[in-house]
Amino acid sequence: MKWIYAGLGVLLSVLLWWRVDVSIPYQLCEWEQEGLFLTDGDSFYKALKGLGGFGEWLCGWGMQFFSVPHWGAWLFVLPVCLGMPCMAFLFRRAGVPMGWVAIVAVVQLFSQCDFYYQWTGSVCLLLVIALLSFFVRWQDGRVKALCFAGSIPVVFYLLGSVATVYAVCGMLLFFCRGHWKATLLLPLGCWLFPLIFPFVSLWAFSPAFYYNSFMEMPWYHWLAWGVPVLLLAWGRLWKRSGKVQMRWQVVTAVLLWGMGVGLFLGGEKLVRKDSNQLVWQLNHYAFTERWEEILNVLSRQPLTNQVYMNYANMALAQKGVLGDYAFRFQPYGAGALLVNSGNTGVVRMVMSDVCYTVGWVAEAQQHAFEAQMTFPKGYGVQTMIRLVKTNLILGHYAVADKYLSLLEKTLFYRKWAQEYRRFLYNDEAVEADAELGEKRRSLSRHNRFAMFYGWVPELEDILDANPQNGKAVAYLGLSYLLTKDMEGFRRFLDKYYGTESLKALPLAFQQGVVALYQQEKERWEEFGVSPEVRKLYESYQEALFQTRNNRNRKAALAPYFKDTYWFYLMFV
Amino acid sequence: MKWWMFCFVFACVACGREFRIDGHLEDASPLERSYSEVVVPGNIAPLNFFMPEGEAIVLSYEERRIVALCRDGAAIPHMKEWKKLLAAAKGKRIRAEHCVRTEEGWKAYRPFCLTVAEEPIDPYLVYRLIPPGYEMWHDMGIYQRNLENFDERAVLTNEQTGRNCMNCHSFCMQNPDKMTFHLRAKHGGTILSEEGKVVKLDTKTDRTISALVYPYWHPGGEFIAYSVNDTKQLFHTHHRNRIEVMDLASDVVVYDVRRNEVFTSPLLFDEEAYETFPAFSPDGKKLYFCSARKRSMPDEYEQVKYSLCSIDFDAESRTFGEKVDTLYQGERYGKSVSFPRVSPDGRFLMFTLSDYGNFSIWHQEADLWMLDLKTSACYPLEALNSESVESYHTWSGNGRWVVFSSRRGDGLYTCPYIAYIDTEGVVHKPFVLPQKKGNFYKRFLYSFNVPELVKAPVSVSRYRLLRTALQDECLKVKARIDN
Repeated sequence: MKWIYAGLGVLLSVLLWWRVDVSIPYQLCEWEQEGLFLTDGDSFYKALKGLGGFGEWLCGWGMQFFSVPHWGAWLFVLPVCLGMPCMAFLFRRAGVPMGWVAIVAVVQLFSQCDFYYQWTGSVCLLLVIALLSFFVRWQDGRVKALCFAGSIPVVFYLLGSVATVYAVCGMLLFFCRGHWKATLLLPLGCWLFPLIFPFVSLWAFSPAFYYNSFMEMPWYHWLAWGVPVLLLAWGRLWKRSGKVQMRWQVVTAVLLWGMGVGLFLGGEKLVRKDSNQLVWQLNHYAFTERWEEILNVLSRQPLTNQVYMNYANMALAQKGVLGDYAFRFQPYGAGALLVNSGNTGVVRMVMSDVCYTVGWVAEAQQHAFEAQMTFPKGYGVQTMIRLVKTNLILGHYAVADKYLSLLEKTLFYRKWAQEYRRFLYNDEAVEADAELGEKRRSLSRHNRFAMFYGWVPELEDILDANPQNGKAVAYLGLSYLLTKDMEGFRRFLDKYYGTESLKALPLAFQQGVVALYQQEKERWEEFGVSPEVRKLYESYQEALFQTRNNRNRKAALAPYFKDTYWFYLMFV
Repeated sequence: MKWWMFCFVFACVACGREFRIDGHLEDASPLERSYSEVVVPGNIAPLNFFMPEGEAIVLSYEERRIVALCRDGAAIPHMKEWKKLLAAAKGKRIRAEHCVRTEEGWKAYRPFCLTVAEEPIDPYLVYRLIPPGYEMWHDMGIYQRNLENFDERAVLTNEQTGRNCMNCHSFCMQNPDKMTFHLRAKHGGTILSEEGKVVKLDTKTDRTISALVYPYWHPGGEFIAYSVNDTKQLFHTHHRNRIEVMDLASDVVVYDVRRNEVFTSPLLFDEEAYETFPAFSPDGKKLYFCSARKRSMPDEYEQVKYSLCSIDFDAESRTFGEKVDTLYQGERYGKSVSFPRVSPDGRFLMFTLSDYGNFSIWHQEADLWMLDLKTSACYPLEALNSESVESYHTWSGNGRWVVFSSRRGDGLYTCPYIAYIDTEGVVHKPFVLPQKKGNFYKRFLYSFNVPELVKAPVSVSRYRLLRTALQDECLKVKARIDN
């Protein structure tokens, strides 16, 4: 029977790993990017000073591996996988059918999949279950009870509120009527002892301890704690008569495991938010500069909000083709280039990414800083790397030095930080670098209050400082086209066409010229409108004529012309 | 220096083997610039002598001698030995020798001296820890640090108050039992703690433009002067001052603690002027404040020059003088005054001077100046100023020490510096607030904001403050302000 359970356990673990690896890999990356784990002794000692600090430190150590493909998912489900045999051992001792371990594993994973629930909670739960398994083997009941009771405050201090599960399960497992003071009263006292400190609230006894303090914890997080406790209580309180036949045990086990798998596969969508998964995926690609993959992902689905459009346009800009393919992703308004505002970390991060792409270094720095404020610890590797770069570009070397010193204490970014040290106090090196140098050359010669008068004056300042900044000119021209400001587009062409900034017009701008000078075809020649664009426009005109009485004109034209500016001008 | 070498040397020193200086270098120590002629209080925690790893400092006075090896970026003397040395050298000079290890053994640079002052410093420093950010925040709290050791405890943190903002803590004459601070956003209000009694105030009235902002206690403890401000924050695209915080409107009022009402004078409530940063004189008979002509904002933000002004105040009748005296004309000198603070003996007034505006912590050019109220001499405090910002400052109860905020370390993260001021207003070289670990400031991602010296630890419990902070009911402040 043991081997059947073991086999089912392995199968469930593989299934859980597969599901996590397929459905939330970028959520794991987001956790890693929003953290900053320092591998030095100071961080460890500092962590030990706080309630639950050891558990947090241990998880921080593990979470730095979350970005490693496939291995991150294994690590993520490890507390559940390792918790299963320990829980099975406890259930056996308590007389609970071991098949129920599957349900315990599933409800625990529900909690884990919630982005705002720290992985710390699951790891700490594993540790207390393992500790209980250790105590359960002791023969001497009195010593066991005393040691168990004495360990409760230690567990509370080191691991946090999971001591509640530890204490309650321990009392259920070790309770002995003859020694009720040692097995009930004493551990109860040790568990509730922290309440004598005035500002220790019930929060320090609940799973909310591991939940993002900005959010309200959903009710289902109580299941990960409540289910094992209730099952242990059931096992202890209800004595079955006689031994259950083997075949019924197998049937029960298989049914329970199957129920567990079904529950997880069916229910995890309620916990996992698909829209967030996409944004985290895009954020990860932006962090790792995988622009092509951003475009591949976004081309497979309708872009329903401007944050996605920001990513698409930024990726196009990074590849140098924004001016050509801007309307491929059906943008809507100027917000498609840069959203107006946002107070979530990921939105602030995309704002920082877009600003950095264009050359708005101060704004990129500001948004990175604001994004950081939403992270669990108030700082993360993704934002810190951005802050290093922006401070280097702006010549704030001492601040960059500080951030590099911290990144040098991480496992995966140490090398990057050591390489970037060469830029410190070295203007020549910064200016010679392709990325940092270009951004520094784009620093405006005129100071303004950022975005106070909109971004047009600032884009013009960038082009004034660095006429070769192709991304800035693309964003500037598109900002006119997307807001249908044709007069502004005309001024833009007059000012920049034929200069270093805009020697030739990309596709979308050519279409803009055609729209602007519909009746003045000689101007098309002037602006170098290509024969292909002219032909496409003729087709568009013809199609317009053919559908002039069609009520669903927009839908009729969309398949052929939706990625042209003319379609945008007319129908969006 | 490798770890094992450090352990060996440390073990040698710890086991009592004599630390021997084998030779002397004629050069001046690189530490001289920062530490030579620094004056330290006799009750301060061990200083952090920042130097490369593996070097050491030897401090001696008469037959007493202590050695500190550099670890994690600073040599920090042992607490007990340091205290004994300071006690022995009170009012005298300590000899400091910065030593480097060479092939011929330890060699010492030219020695320099530190002086131990007769007068102690107030033993506690209260400050807010906050990341030097823009608009949003995460962790924030008000902390108190025992200056005699490295102990730091939270007075209140926002972890349990819904991650709201807490700011503008202030004490009456360095008395920790009379304290006020604000909470913003969630659980908003003003906390007033007096002799163990804690109340929460709703300070927004229909006669004032905002809730009460920058506080300053009257020495008698029955009044608190506040500013009310309509503040806007913008930030620069390319400027050494990252952020600009400006007032679109501001006034000064006085809160009567007993009657729970605010009152003011038309001279402090002018629509055509920005009045802010009130500060009472130690005898309570004068109210100092900063005032600037109203401008079209934000376009004319660089033309806002605050002057240093004063007006008489009579606590008994709750009335103000009929005229405002201008002690430093900002527009005349093309500069702007903020944070006027009078010394406890009433002789000196320290203030921050910047090129324009009032939120000087974001002005790299901001420096500390002194006005001698007896002679009217006004001069920069060169010993305290650096190329980066020096801003908020606090006097000790005996008037001999000042703690001020400076960003000289890296230009962004604010650290507190401590300096001695003698009876003639001469300031001495400052030193940074000592920490237990040498690399503390290199790793710390928070700024020390509004440092305030207090004579004893804040006695009201965190629990009481928290309980009051979380209550929904506030005592509504009345406004006795005529049109």
